[in-house]
Amino acid sequence: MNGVTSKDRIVFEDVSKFYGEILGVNRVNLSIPPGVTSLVGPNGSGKTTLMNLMTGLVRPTRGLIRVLNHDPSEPEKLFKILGYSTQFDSFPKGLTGFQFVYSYLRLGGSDSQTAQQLAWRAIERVNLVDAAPRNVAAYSKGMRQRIRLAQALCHNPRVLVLDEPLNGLDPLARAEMIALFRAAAADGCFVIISSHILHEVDAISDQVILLSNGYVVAEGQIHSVRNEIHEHPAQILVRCNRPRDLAARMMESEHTIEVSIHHDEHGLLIKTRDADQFYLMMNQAAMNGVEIESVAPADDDVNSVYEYLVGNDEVVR
Amino acid sequence: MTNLWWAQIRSVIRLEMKKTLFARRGLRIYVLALLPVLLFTAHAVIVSHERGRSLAIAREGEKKVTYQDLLAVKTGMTNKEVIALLGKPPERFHWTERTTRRVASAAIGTGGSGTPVNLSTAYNLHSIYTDSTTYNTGGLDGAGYAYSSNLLTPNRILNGVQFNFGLANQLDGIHGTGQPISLPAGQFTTLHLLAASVYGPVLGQAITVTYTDGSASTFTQNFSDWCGCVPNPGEQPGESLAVVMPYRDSRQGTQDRQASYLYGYAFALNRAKTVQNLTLPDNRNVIILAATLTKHSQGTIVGNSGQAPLVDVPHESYTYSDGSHDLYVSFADGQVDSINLRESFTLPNESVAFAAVFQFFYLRLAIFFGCLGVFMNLFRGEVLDKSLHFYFLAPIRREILMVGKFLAGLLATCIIFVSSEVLQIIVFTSQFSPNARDLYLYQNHGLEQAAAYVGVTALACLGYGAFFLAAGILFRNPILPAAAILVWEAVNPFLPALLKKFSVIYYLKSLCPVDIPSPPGTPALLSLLVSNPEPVSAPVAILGVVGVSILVLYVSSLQVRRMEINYTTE
Repeated sequence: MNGVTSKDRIVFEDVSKFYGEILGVNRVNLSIPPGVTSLVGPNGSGKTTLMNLMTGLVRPTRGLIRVLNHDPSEPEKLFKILGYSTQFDSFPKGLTGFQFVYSYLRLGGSDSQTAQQLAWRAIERVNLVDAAPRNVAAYSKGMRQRIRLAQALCHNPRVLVLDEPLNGLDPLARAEMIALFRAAAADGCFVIISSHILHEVDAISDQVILLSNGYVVAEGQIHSVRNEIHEHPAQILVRCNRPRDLAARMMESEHTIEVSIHHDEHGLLIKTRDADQFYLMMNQAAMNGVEIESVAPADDDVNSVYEYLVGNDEVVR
Repeated sequence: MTNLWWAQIRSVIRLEMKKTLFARRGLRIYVLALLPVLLFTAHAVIVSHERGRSLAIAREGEKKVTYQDLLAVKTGMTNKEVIALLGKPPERFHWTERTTRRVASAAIGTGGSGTPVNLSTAYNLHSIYTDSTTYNTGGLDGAGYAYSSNLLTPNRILNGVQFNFGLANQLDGIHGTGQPISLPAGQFTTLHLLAASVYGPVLGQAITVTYTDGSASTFTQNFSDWCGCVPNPGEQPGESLAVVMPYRDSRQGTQDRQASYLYGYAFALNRAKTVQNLTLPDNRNVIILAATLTKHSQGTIVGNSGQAPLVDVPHESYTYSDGSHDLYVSFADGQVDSINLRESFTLPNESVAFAAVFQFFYLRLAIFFGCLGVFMNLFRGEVLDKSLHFYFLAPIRREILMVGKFLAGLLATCIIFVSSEVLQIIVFTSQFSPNARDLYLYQNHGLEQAAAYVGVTALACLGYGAFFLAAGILFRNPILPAAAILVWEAVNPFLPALLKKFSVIYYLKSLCPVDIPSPPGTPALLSLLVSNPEPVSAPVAILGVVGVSILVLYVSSLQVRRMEINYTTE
């Protein structure tokens, strides 16, 4: 475990899961730290399987999983510290939103008063107080998503596993939920998210786990992952007052592959094999009077990294 | 920890009870549970009507008759004798039938003609018993019923032909095994037999008489059933009613009030040849009681395919009642042909009907399928609804969840089926007078029986519930195991002793408070379905059901721990 104990990590050791002859995930080794971790990959890449393995809903064909040292096959212990908002859009029949959360807490052994307090607090956090007394069957997709989040959050777990948690939410609700996840992560929680909306994942993730066809193709902080992909040149967007001069200077470097001037004549996109050399040259240009407004990587977002790793065909947007 | 588990179990029960009791699919279970209540309500209406009719017949009769008067009517009496005994009947029907049979029974006594054949060396059946004798043999039919020697008497004369029967209470009849029977040497014109069949009419049986020169006469004959419970007695070609008796004896020493019949057959022989042997059919269900050879045709002579001439026979039917017993007397040709004395609906008698409904409908169908609907859906229904993950994501041991769900199912089914059972008992007993009801409930073990029915109902829910819960957990398609359980329970009486114990019905049958007698003429194998030849004691039966249930639940708990949520493959 590279010196890290499983007590403060979510650990997968050589985990494989097969559904009959169909591969779910294969030979997964992970050690997930606190913070927001995003599972990224197209449909069928193994995101939900990984989450179901983590929560004991399915059992690994091979390998070992520990969630903060808990065995997922012991739900009575695991779900005291873990809340899981699944993609399954079915609910026990006849329950209101409040009863759904309240019953979940009672199942865990909370007394009635505590369960009521915790349920209302969670419902408030997902902003669903007005709809809570209504039957879940009458909820919209977004409301059902939020009540599932409330269920996952209600007992203040240290680990939040959220399968496509932003699906069906309007932009305002989406922003609220992202803030909620960030706040949980800031409190030291493990927030595991799977999502197809890559730019949001990009914005909120402390680290990503990229999956393709049941395999983990990369994991870690997004910038670190990007830097490890040497076969693809770095793309950097520079905003400055004299883009043509800067372009000429850059082309003198043997590491520069391509330079193109932005159409507004106030910037240029540079492809280089050596980002460190590039930044040194930027410093020299600035000292020589080029006014540089901003320098920003143009391809260290999740989408680009994913594209580099698994090819154009599997990129999800 | 125990407190936490109980709190969790209570939470599961609360959630499941609501679903089970108010689910739409629960409607079918309510209908199943309430069907017997409707049945007994209808029965109460009919009983009330019948009782009124009996009282009206008793009131309108010319004479006030007693039960003893009704018992005094015997077959062979003339209609004048019956009227002298019971008065003019309040209800009378008459009609004419064109028939071949002679209705009168053969006369009692000796002095008839012919040479009776000594069959004693061939006797292989206890077919005749003295009334009130208890016996352990299978009797005439293998089910413990036999002719009454009091009615049959040792000798009969049919159409002038003498017949002698074997001595009662010992081997005195022959069932066909294809055996040859020696005949007294001589030249005869006719072979007369008194015989019958058991378990329904037996058709196309070969009777062969061998002559001393090696030649033979073979006759093909059908035989009617000896029991009045089988329709059309004595109506096979070449057959006549020889002796009609109002009852038969049972191995318990009681009289079974089913009419019993003995039939006469006559076969024309080659009078030029000397007889040697009689060969009977190789058929266990053909019974011969007496045989006589005659030199002159004195009986109804038939050839190989002979048919007696058709005659118009006047029939009458009288109905009498003492208010609590109805007597139906049928006359043919002015003589009592059959008697049916039926006791009015009484609580002890009707309790047998109640027991039959309980055992054969309520226990084996209503509770069985009700438990199937409830318990199988506790897990499998939620997998199909894709909502089981709600429970699996809670911090609760899977085994505790299973126990909670099982107890919820048990509580729900007990509420439904025990309530229905109590209602059935109330409706059933309410049709009788308060005095009869009190007598039955407080002095004739009625209350104990009611408690036993309620207990058996609850135990059935427990036993079947455990099996169906297991089926819902262990199998993706639980319908097949459910069908297997149904078959297993149905064939339980025929299983070896050890295998019987791995079922629910084996123990429940032992706890049922009222034995259901097999209908007369029921084959021994089928009687096993009704009776319980090897009942176990109540404590063993209760422990058996509980033990089997715990064993099944334990196996289920091992599986539920490993159960995965994978809705897409369901």
